Amino acid sequence: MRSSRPLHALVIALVAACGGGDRAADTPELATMAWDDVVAQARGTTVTWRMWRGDPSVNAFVDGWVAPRLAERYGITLRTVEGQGPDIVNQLRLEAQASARGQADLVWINGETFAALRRDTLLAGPWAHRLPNARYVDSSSATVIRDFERPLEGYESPWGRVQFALIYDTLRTPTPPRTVAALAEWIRAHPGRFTHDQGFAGATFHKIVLYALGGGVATFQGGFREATWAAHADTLFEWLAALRPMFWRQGEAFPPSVADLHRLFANGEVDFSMSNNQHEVVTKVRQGILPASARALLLEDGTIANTHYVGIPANAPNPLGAMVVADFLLSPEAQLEKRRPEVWADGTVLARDRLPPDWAMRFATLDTAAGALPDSMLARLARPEVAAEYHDRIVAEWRRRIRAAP
Amino acid sequence: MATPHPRRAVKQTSRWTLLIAAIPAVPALAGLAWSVWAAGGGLEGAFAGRTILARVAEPLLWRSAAWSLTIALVATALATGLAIAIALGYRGAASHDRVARSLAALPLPVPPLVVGLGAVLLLSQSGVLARVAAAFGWIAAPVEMPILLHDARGLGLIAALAWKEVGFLSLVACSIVAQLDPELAASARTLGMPSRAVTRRVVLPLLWRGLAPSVVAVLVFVLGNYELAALLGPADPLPLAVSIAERSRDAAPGALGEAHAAALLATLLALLAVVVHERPGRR
Amino acid sequence: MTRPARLGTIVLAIAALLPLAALVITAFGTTWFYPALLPAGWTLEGWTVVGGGRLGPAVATSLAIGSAASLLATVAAVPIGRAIARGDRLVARIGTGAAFLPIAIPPIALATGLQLLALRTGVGGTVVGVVLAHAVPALGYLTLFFVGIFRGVDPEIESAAHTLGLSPRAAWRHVLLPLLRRPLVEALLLGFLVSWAQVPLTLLIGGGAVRTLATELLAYVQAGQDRLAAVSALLLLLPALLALGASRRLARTTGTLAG
Repeated sequence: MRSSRPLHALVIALVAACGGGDRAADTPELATMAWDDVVAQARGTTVTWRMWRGDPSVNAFVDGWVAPRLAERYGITLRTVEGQGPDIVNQLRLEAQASARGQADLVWINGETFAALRRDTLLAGPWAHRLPNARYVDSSSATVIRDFERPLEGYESPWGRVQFALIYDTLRTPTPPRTVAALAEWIRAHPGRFTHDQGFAGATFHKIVLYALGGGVATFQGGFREATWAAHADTLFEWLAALRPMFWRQGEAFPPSVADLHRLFANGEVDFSMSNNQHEVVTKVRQGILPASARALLLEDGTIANTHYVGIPANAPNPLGAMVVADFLLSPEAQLEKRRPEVWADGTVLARDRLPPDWAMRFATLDTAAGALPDSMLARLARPEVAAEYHDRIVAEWRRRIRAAP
Repeated sequence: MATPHPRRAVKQTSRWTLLIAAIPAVPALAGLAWSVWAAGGGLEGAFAGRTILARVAEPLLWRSAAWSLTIALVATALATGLAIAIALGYRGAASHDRVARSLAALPLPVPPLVVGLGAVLLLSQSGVLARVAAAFGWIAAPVEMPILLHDARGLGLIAALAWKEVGFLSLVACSIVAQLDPELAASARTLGMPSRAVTRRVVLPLLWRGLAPSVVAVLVFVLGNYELAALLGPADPLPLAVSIAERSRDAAPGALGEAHAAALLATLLALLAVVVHERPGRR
Repeated sequence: MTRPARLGTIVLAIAALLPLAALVITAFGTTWFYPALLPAGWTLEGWTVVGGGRLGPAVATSLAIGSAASLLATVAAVPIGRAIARGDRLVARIGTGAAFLPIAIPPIALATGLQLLALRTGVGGTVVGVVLAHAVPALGYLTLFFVGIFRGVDPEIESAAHTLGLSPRAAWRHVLLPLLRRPLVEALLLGFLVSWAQVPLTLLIGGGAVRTLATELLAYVQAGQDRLAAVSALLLLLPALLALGASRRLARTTGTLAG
């Protein structure tokens, strides 16, 4: 065509622009570079952190406390971007496929996300063990040094810890059940007043029942075994199926997310809610989403404690800056601030006995808000996550056996 | 340049003009091409047409599609019926007619997301409607309130979609009725046709003819809407738009390709609706 | 007014206004649980998030993206719409079909395809990418809009200007542009509104990095943060209501609206 030449050139230019995005990290020696050099090179840079931004308290902590200090002490500009596990995995996969420029330096991850990223070699590392503040980490805790039973191997750095708790209303339920068995009795005695969500909190609840009915978490540790699953899956689902007619709406409908479950609980449709974070009840009461008389409840059979971590993508443009940020997040100062009940009340991953005495003292004397559970109780009843495969099976089987069945 | 041959000149202009006319479709077509590639396994490294067919034929996907299509048809029919009733019932010039027409058009500028939040606040079992019902003594507890949201019957979703689209359809219907030649109705009446029959035999067909393209547009919009389906729809069967979104965020390998296959199916359905409208009504 | 008509108007009023009332109450109320018809108290706390929190930047982003996408789409839609309006039947059919395509394709489906395109061209996760993505359906709407406008503009006007010796550019400036002044404003507004309330395109092409008012609203509702969601919803509603009010007033004063 006669005057197609400018168009032609434009197309060529576009195509040329497409392919050249690969800026594979120069793979600086993340594990061996001198820390002073790391900090020096990170100064004046921007670190992009993909994290879940759904909680105003978390955002306030990160934006209002962490970011200014990073800017002031390390000259690092922190830029936060919304992203949850599956989105992060897909994004990194697509970027790797398209050889596109990496966009995130730091990612907030745990569990299946970690497993998926490791499987696809999308994480940079090892680096986490060489952070200066890593020496304070509670490496004796199974929940910290293993993520869903996967060893960290330095590919992610612990950041915080939460524990599953039920939520009940002290006015409506002055004497709540304290074991799984007692809960079953309570559900039978109060038909239509209990349910769980279809999301992660509900799945965690199923896991807790699985542990309790299976004789404790030890039964399920040591990797996924088909035989163990076969032996205990039916017990769990028979328990659920037997109680189902006594659930809210006769178990014919389940709230899609834990936020909907909170709504049911707050409006008096059910008497229990649940959360993967034992402190969520306090923040939600403060925000007016839950009634003021709501409290957290741990079951004596144990509840699952979950550590969350930060990782560095393999194609991160600024891995050194990300390491500095990760180290700061691990510092006693940042961990203490995060632990404050009025800030986030997220559990610390640091071991009290490894900290310098004055920091240990500060953690010990931290005021706990009314309704927050004492650390000793949390520690006593904490149970680790087991292999991620159990989680996947529970979710799939629940959908097949209960949700799809009338 | 010397005076070009008239026919050749027209052809050249047309070719350029055709290209220009096609520009708005280019990004969408490029996106579709990528979706075909991804649905066929391009992301996993091995493209095959068979893969697309296998993925599109997945029963769970068709369940979502059938459900979404049903909801869309019901909501569109409801909105159309209401719009016609409003256009015919309030076609005068009196102030109360104008007020009614303005009220009916109010949902038009409201973004679907906002409609979704409003629906959640009003239609949940302990929402505003339930509280009003309780205040009147019609129900004693939230559990007696019929379930409208997040369930397979999709009543709340239908209501929200219809509410939103009545705004648009009633506006179009009212302006059609306003522009109808009054002579038509007048002459029918002088011929002895009773008033109601005039409406049914004269006004209604004209109104329907004018409204039809808008109804198709509404159907396509309702079918493809993500926000309302995500906020108000059930988890099982999963609305098609939500299924696409969830698959595209699933970290399992191959899920992203399935998302693209689902996107292709949704596109096919939407274009089918447009084609079905276009074919018979060639004026 | 007849009884059923009066009843109908009341029902219409309730149906149209109740959702909006619920939004306003939620935005300004403190705890509001069943069976309370009104909240326990009132607060402005939700609105402080606008100034000092996430919503402020999100609103700014939405304004910027909406303006840019609208401008881009309008500038392109004018010549395209004119070409289609002036073309023969084949051009008209291809043109309207092409303009319909990005509108008819469900936004979420369009978004998945465009997401791959965006990643390959390097604009995935950037504001530029989202602007371009929003411009795609906007171009469709605005092309159709300008086809209608140009069909209403007598082509004789242009050829008359040409016969009188005006260069094409002068014809544009002195003849067409004045005619197009109001449609251009309407087009910019329409394009802006298409982008302002957009969700799937922002979610998928923005990849979480680009936060608009609409995506924040979705996140708040899904997180159960009703008050913040209501505040965001009212903000999201504002431009459309203003535009509607302005255009109706304009139309009534120029007599182009029937009642």
